[in-house]
Amino acid sequence: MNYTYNWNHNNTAYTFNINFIEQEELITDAHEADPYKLRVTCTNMEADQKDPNTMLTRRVRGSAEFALIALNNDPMQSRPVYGTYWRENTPGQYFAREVIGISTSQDAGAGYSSPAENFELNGSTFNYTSNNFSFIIDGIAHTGHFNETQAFQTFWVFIEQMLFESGVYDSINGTVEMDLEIEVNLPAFDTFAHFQAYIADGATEGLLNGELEPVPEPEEYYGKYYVNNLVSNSPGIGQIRYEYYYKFDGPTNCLGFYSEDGKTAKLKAYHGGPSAIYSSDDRGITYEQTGSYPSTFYTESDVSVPLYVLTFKTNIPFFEGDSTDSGKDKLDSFMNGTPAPSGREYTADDAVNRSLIEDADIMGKIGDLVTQTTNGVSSIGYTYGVQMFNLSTTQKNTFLRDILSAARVNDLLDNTKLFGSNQIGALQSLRYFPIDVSEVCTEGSAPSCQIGSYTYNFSSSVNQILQNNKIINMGEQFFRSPYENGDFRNFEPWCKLYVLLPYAGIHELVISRYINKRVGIKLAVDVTTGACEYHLYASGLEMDSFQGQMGTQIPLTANDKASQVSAVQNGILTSVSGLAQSASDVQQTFGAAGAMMMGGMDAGKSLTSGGITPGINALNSGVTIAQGAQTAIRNFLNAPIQTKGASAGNLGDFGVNSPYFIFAWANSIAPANEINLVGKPSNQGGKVGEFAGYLKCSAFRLANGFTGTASEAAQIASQMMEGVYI
Amino acid sequence: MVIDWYTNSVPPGRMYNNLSNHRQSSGYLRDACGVESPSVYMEYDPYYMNINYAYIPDFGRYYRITGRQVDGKRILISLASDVMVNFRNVILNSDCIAERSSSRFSIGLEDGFIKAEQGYRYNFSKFPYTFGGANSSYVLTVTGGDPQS
Repeated sequence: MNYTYNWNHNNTAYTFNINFIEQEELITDAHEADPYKLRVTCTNMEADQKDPNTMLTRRVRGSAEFALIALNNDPMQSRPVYGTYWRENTPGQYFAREVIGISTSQDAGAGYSSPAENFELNGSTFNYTSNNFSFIIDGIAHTGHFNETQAFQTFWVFIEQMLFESGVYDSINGTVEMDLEIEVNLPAFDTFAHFQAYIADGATEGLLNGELEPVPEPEEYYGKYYVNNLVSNSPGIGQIRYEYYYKFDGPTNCLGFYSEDGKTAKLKAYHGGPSAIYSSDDRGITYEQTGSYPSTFYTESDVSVPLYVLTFKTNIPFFEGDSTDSGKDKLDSFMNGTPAPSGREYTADDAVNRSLIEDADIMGKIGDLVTQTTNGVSSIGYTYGVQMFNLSTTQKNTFLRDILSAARVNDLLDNTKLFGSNQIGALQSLRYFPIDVSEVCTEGSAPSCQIGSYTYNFSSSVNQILQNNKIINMGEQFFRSPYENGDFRNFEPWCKLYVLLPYAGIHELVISRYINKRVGIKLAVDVTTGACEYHLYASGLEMDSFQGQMGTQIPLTANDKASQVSAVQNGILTSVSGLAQSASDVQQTFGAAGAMMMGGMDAGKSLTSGGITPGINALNSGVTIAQGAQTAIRNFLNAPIQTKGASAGNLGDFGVNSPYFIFAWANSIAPANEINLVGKPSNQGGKVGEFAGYLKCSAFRLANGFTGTASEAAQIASQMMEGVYI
Repeated sequence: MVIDWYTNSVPPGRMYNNLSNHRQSSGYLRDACGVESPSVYMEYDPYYMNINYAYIPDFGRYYRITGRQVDGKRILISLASDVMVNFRNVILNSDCIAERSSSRFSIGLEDGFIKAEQGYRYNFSKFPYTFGGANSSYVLTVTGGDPQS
């Protein structure tokens, strides 16, 4: 992907024309043993400079190549490397070194950050594979190699090296234009903001060098416990004193908080303590593993210090002491399952933050919790008495041609008198399925079939259905929330989610069942009736199921032609009318989705004209088409295979032929200054001093110690309800 | 009565002040008035036209200037107690439930300041499975005796 970057430095105007070479496989796993690669090729550089002494213009042309390869071969020591970005000369846009492997201690003004120094620092294998350059300066050729002892921490250093070698670096008042090819197998982004968004939630906007799969759910990387504690010297975030953002892995109830004074919280480890600790130095955007954490956190502001607690959130059980038991005694009681000194035994329901704690009673459950649901399979066998066969089109044509031939039909009729109400009732059904039936059935092989007392020998063995006992796994996709996880706009009515299932229609889904989960579809098909049932899963749990009609009955008998034609027409009229109404509804509801559905129907018309099975045409020759039927119906009736009775199943063949998820969203506009100007919805309780910035109260009670008048108290209450800036 | 006069650069509705341009001078109350909104006479000086804040040590309160009337060589200045500053510490220690906050909020709650544009936009995501075409079968069902007998 092409990318242009313009930059001015030392009175020199730089233009970088960059071609990022797309990579088929980008490495994003922090513990990946595959090598990280970076190759930068300067295919052409042209520079005009003015000699600082003579002020005469000199011209430089040249090309260069720089490449390195590094093995992240020590996953226990190497730091996670998530990606790279084109670094612009803007202060404060850097992550810490440990997060992405970009040195901030040796910041260059601009340039392309490579992970080189990260590998170097961690002792990984680090090889230059190429670093040649060739320049012509005022007609003098100059070739050579870079000095490998130089720190190639960033691509910008590389550029500086190149310019320095060429003599341009010392000059001012010039122009430099470089044509670059950059080949790197880390995700590379055009701006820091896009890179930051990728780190935060996997957004791939601005990715320059390939495609990325959705990042795994955070739970796969981070622990189930968290604590966020942001403490400032002032009510705002301008004078931050502590920033504690930790996530922990560990067994259930391995950590607990207690507080005796209501202002500080002590974190205590139990049952082996945490097995893995992650910390964040960018307020919870990214985490990396660390080995320690503080034992004291701050839960409440103390304006006399002053100390302002801007954030304290945790799902680690938190117990506060009172006149009955100390906080520590309560926590010990909960963790050890023993009574506190008062004799009372404390549970998770006694924790002050019980709504955030797993296994507290706020989680409703009936019986044992499971992480996935299970499905049964049909055990009905079709071997004796009733036989079912999976025929290809050729096998089906051959069978019908033979069985209905003049040479065989009398024998067939003689042997089928006792079955069914008509002459060949033993031929129970012939259904078309738009799937390979072997995907839903266990099959054997059979050389013949028994139609009543008549034995029909196939020309060669065919697949015999033994059991209809399989389910089709149609795949799994990750459904990522469009907004930040937990944002109300992820849900209805701001967003809507529909699923379009072939042969089963369009259905609206409840987003909360699927959001930020792996969504899977499985399909069960009943080969005896043609019915189908879709099962929709979210992270292994079945959330919805929808039924439809997939198999199309092909008429074999014609003893009541008139009623059959009537049934066909009624079925089609009903179905077409229903589909038209559905499409109309869809169009009204979805706009583009409806249009697509209508397009699908149009495409279906053309499919019918091709003719599928000449051998069946004879069966349909007597069908009289109702006059005045709609064009769509006529087209449908012209098809050589028709739907029997009220079942208009093969209309589904004209619809979309793959499952689709349709995600609809309303574009929202959030004021950029909202948080500072009017805050955001809170509904949190606490002391006023625990809040910072803008605060509007829904309830307020003035504390004891107020020495003002009643009028002033009323003014204060009124002001708090209207909103203040603390 | 001694009064400290200031310019406060912080608008109303804040729980803090930022004072400058200090002058201490004496004046007297106009008639009887409450401590929340007193009016004081001062000897006229253009200084009083460019300030907006006061502190009366006798009352232990900061005041915002709400009005000025020049009366010959005197100026009558109306004051109103800045309750958010005067009782800052007790307010900070008071219980509340925040309807909106800049520091402690939940993005999961409906936010009336965020508006939606009319209409929906759509993403279509396709599952890889495809019906029909090569994936098709005919199922024949027959009834009869055991073909092996």
